[in-house]
Amino acid sequence: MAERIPPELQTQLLKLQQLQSQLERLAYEKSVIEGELREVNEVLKELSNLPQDSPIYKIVGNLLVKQDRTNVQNELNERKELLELKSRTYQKQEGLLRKQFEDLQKKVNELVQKYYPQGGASSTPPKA
Amino acid sequence: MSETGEQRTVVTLEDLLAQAEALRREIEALQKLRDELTESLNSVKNAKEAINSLKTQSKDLMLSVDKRGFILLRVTEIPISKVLVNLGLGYYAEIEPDAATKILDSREEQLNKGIQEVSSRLNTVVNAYAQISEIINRAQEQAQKGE
Repeated sequence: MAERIPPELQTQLLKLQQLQSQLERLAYEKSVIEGELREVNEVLKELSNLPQDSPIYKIVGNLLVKQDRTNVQNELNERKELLELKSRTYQKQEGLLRKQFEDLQKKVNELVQKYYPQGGASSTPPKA
Repeated sequence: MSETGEQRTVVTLEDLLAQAEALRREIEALQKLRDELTESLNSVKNAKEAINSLKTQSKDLMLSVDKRGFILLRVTEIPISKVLVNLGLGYYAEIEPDAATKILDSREEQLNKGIQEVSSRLNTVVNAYAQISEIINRAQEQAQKGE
């Protein structure tokens, strides 16, 4: 008959899986934000290199609408600040989650050693 | 048995299959991304070619109305003093062709770099997938022999 994993270990493993999926989701969201931030910086860089008299347009549906250059730069700078703030928040969250994950991983390893001691006399875990 | 022997990690076939499936999904995503980047790169190259062609020959041209070129229109002249170039995020600037070419050059450079990075990652994942597949095949063969 197959051995059952001790409930204590099972609970911690479940928590570990949840933390891992949270970390993965956070990493994905962070990469999306960083991608947007790169694009905003790229557009701002291109704008600063353009001659002052170059007309700027924005695509709205199927129309190209003429824009005021200063407004465009202000809008992009605001967007940049917001994205940077989000990025910093995600970094903090990621740091905290990673710390929790590492602590829990240690705990799980300790439980594995407790229930499945290597080369020990009793290697059979208690039945749940 | 002595405890000084090498430590062995036991991985179930189920785990290996799950890993292989995750790698397969990543391979598909990376291939899709590489194709998209390559398509963008081709568009940039086409745009640069069009600008260069129009610099030398802007009279008596044929213009395709659709993507596949089912209908062509004869255009007597396309003024090439200014072009609209995509800056990103839906913004366009009306600038001289040479300035537009510079922007397209930097975009081409970025896309080439992106394609290289994706291709490198793809090679790594494909190799990992091949290794896991080999282990799975060996395990399944052994299981069949054992039956």
